Amino acid sequence: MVKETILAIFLFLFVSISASCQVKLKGIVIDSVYKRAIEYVTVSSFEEEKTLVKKITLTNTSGKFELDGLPINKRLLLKFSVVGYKPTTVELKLNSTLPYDLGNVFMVQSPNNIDTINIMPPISLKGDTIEFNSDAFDLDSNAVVEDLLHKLPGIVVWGDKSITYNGIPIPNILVNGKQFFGNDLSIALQNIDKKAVNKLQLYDKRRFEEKIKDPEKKDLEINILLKEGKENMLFGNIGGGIGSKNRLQSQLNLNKASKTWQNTIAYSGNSVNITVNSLDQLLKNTTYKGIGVNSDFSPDFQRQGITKQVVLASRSQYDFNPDADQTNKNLIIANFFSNWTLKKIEDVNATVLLNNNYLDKNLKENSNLNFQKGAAQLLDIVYTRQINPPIINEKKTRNYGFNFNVENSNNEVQNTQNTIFNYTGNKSQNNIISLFNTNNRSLEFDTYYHSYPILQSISKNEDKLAFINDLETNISLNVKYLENRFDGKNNGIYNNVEDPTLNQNQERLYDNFNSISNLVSNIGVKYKKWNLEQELQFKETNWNDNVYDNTQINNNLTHRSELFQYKYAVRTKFNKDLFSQKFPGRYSRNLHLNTAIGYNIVSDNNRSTIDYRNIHQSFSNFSPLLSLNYNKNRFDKVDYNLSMQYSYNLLYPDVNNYKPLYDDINIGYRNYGYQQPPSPSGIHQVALTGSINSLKKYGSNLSVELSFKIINDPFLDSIELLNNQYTLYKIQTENNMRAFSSKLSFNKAFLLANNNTLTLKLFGNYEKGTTFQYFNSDFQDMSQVNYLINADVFFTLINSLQVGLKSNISLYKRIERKFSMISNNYNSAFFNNAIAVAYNINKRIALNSNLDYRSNYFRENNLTSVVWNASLSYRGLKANNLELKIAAFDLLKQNKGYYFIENPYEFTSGSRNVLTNYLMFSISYFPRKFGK
Amino acid sequence: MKIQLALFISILLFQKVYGQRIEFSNSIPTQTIRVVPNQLYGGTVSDNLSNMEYFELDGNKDNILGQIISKAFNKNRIILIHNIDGNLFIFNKNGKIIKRINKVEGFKQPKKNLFYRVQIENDNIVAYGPNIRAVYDNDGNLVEKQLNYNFNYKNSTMLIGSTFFEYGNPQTYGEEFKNNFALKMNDKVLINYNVKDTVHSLLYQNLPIVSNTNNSAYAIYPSTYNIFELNATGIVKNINFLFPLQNTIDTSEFYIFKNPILLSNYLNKKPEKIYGIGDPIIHKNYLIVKLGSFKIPNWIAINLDNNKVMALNKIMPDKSNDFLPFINLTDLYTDGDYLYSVIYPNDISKAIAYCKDEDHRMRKEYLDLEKSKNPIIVRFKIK
Repeated sequence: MVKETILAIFLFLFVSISASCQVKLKGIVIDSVYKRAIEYVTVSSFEEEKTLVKKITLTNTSGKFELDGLPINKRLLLKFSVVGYKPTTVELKLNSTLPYDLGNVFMVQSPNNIDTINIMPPISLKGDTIEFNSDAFDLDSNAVVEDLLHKLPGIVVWGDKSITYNGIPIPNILVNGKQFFGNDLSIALQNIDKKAVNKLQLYDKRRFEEKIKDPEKKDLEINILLKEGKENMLFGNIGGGIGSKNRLQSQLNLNKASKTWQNTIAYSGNSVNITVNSLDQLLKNTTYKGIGVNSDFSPDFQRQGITKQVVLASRSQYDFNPDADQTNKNLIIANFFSNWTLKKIEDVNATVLLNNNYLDKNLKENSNLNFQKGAAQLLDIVYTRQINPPIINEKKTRNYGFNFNVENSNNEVQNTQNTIFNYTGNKSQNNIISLFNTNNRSLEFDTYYHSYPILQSISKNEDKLAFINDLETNISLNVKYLENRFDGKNNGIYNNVEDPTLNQNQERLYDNFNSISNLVSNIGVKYKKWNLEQELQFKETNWNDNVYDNTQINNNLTHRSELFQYKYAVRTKFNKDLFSQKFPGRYSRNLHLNTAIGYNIVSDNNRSTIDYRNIHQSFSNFSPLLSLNYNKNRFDKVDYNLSMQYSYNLLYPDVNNYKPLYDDINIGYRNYGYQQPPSPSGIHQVALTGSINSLKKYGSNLSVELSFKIINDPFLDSIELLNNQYTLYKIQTENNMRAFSSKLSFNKAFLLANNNTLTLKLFGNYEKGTTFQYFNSDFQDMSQVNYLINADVFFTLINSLQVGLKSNISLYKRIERKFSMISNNYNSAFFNNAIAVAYNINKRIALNSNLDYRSNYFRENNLTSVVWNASLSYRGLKANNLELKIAAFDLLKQNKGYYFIENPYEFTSGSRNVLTNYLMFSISYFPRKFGK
Repeated sequence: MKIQLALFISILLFQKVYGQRIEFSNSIPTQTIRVVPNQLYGGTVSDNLSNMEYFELDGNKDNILGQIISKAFNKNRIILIHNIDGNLFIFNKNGKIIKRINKVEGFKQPKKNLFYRVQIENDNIVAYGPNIRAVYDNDGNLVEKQLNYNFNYKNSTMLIGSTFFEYGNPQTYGEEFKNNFALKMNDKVLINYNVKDTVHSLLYQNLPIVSNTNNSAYAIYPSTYNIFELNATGIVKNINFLFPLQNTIDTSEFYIFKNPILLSNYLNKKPEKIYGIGDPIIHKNYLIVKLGSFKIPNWIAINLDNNKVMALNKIMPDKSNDFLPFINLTDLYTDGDYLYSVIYPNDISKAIAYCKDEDHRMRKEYLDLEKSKNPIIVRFKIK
């Protein structure tokens, strides 16, 4: 079925592309008297009797232009305009689909500019900024900025929502020089009315020296310049839906902006497994234009359980410098985000040991019913001051700011868990009914200061303290206080089949409180090729745990403990070009060295009223790093990068997990922590990365990453099946562990006729490593292999069709090396193919559908499910701002909630309750007002 | 945008030179040349140029040229110095290597680079480097060497016949001028800087003194519109360029030369302004100069017979030269008969794509140039 679907899609795409073939026109614009080619002439095409531009382009330095996608058999006007010349018009009608050469188009100079003074050309150059005049472009009355981008020469909006200009990515978009309602581009592109836009400015945002050093490595940015008064705007979304099986979904967001303020209030409520984690997520998925195939605001059919969530959020942004440009930022933003969730999870699973010596009596069955009720409130205030003059050498770079946040969260959990152990020597059943309430509160302050040079006043004295002019500093301080209260009870009933004397029925009450105070400071000073960094951390954790068994104090779990942790790290870095050669017009080569040597001191001191948790450990080590990067750039063709890095560091045992507390309410399981006092584990890592990037327009890029790691004295899990108890230890072994991983990614974008696009992204990952563990007395020596392949394809036909195809294959293989027992080996495979289609039947009716095919293969089992969703929406009212939508989810009723979890020694498979088939009708209104 | 940036890069690649206005004798004859940038002529290669040839400089593993820091052309030779080790390369007129000079007998070079500059003086090849001035014949044979020569990278010198000219560079240290002479002939000061004038300039039109083939040379002053023609007897004339007001930087605006930020901002706002003139070349009946501007075509050829001015950058490649570019923004030289410029293999790649677009077949010898390991020399004449 999948094959047929893919075939049908490609057939459809082919037909769509073929049907959209239109004519290409070219020519050269020449000064009529002086015979010289005229560059940057705006060439606009209009259909007869229309005043707004249909297609537009600019002439290049040779005066040449090309216009693509012109209609045949229609009368067209071509208008040529540039400052200093009289506008010229050419009338024509294209009769065939063959490319048409207009030859030379002559323009006459306007001696006094009278003819040009009142004409605003659709495209103009201001310094090195290209400006697009919004009013000159012919668009639908309800068009937004994204529709305008589709019209602009050189700019392509791709299926994965990335934007490029002549093949160069544009990762950032500003509105009036400032970020617009968060960080997601869609919020500006898919909401702002095209009629509110004065100009789009496109420029290389890098600073002067960076442009000089590498003119071609552009970092492009778009600034949307609004018309006077239009910065006062209101837009948003108010909507709700009701569905079968009591499914509900509703959302509201209202965004109001003025020259200095941006304010948002938002609400979201649903019972269909949609989790809103941020305001940006809500705003970018409820835009006026609609999100297409890239939504992360859809009911989640893969998630365990059914979640209901209500979110209330707001954001206020105040700009102290509303008239300043993007190099001078002075903003304060206050975010408030609160959410209430209700979750129900039913889970039934079975776990087997992956060891052939224990084929019989090797089963743990678990059933779990879990209700969670949570509420969280977060207030976050961010102040940002950035002064980044366009020229670094002006030596006035200052960036500083702070982030203050307060968080409060409550979580109530009711959990009923029944575990049946069926192991040799351990046949028992443990039933635990839990009721817990957790409360977390935190307060955090983070501040930073970056300056170049280090002090401005001294920097004026050029002779005496000249070196200070080259010092750059980074200082940051993070202070956090967090407290956690945990109270509740566990009611555990334990029945042992073979030894009933061990049976117990225990009610255990918990009244626990812990707090963490953490301070981290970083100071870094950079002088030319040298960098000195220091980090100082102090962390204090306090526990005051009171545990009662049937009103009696439980001395094993009741304790007062304090953990003091200190860390000091100092690191010196040095970087240098070992050689740098430039062969203009051919290639350049560069070998760059990065070295660093760091020294770390760590001290952990845990004091506790429980004896075995009085632990003190301190370590110190050097952490060297050496990296070499080789770059070869063949001008306009290809760029090769190869880098090699070696690093060494130590991994310390976490003192808090050194000897865990044992809560015998779960009597069949115990974690003993580290079996003996561990020493640090050393990690040597060698990484080799390479990339090949085509420098041709819309070229492909390929990158490969190889990494090899040796872990000395690693910490391993050790499992011991005691009588009536499944126990876990951490042990340290002298056997070195080795791990190899390789990653490969390939991206290619195809620009089709009429700015339609096709993007292809491939990613592969291969990991192989050794691992060891003790299973009772058996020392297991295993190798593990993981394969992962992802393939994403996006196709768009502008304003009519978007298709997204995502495929994922994951393979896992575990081989027992020591005993050569093939039957102890293990394989699993996971396939996922998803296709999403968004089709605008006309300007008012849109059809969306997605199909998600999943298949799990493991131990000769095959679990397959197909989830198919479809929706039809209609836009009403003059401004298209009322949407009626009917959606059907899991049409095939195949979502079952099967899952599996694997690790080197255990395999768990089970099923959980998941979202299943339902129907929903929803209505949304998009309030929109641009200007007072 | 690209042109402006490339131009600015070419400017900054040169040493930091501070300029100021100059004072010279009223008795020096002045030739005034008027140029109206809006009236520069363009056209096509086939209409305006002739004898066009493209050839590569011999490239094998021993003579790959990196960035070329100094170039000179005479009737028989193409002479280049590259940046990697300052070696001197002498090629014949067809690009065949004659000699690579990587050391001077009896001279222990103090720095990695042997030479920094080469120029033609009295028909000889003269190379300058740290502590050395070496004179070679056309085959690269050492004719004369001056060890411990006080080579000043910033102050150019020129020998015409037996007359020694020294260009006074108005380099400043802090706020104080060290030089107040602008040009000396032997020990006689011919041109002075105005010491009261504190205008600095960071712009530099390639070389301050350019040799001409007929035993003459030109001295050029940044942030002025004057070029002085020199011969063995002194200053022959002052060639003064006049532009329309909209293209002229008025003396009241000279504060912009104080630092590159002001200058860059000013020229971005007023790209039609001309900030200097340089690299004069006499070719047939044309005076060719380079205009410094963010917008105006930079190489102009003035027909001294009829004052018609042609913008060489606006002569468009056509089928006659397989759409290959023939000129770049920084390099144009003459051996007296021909003009020479330099292009690179990536220019051939772009032209191949252009030809494909125009459905034109590029001749094989030009196609092969794409694989050239060295820069490609273009030789041509103006019709």
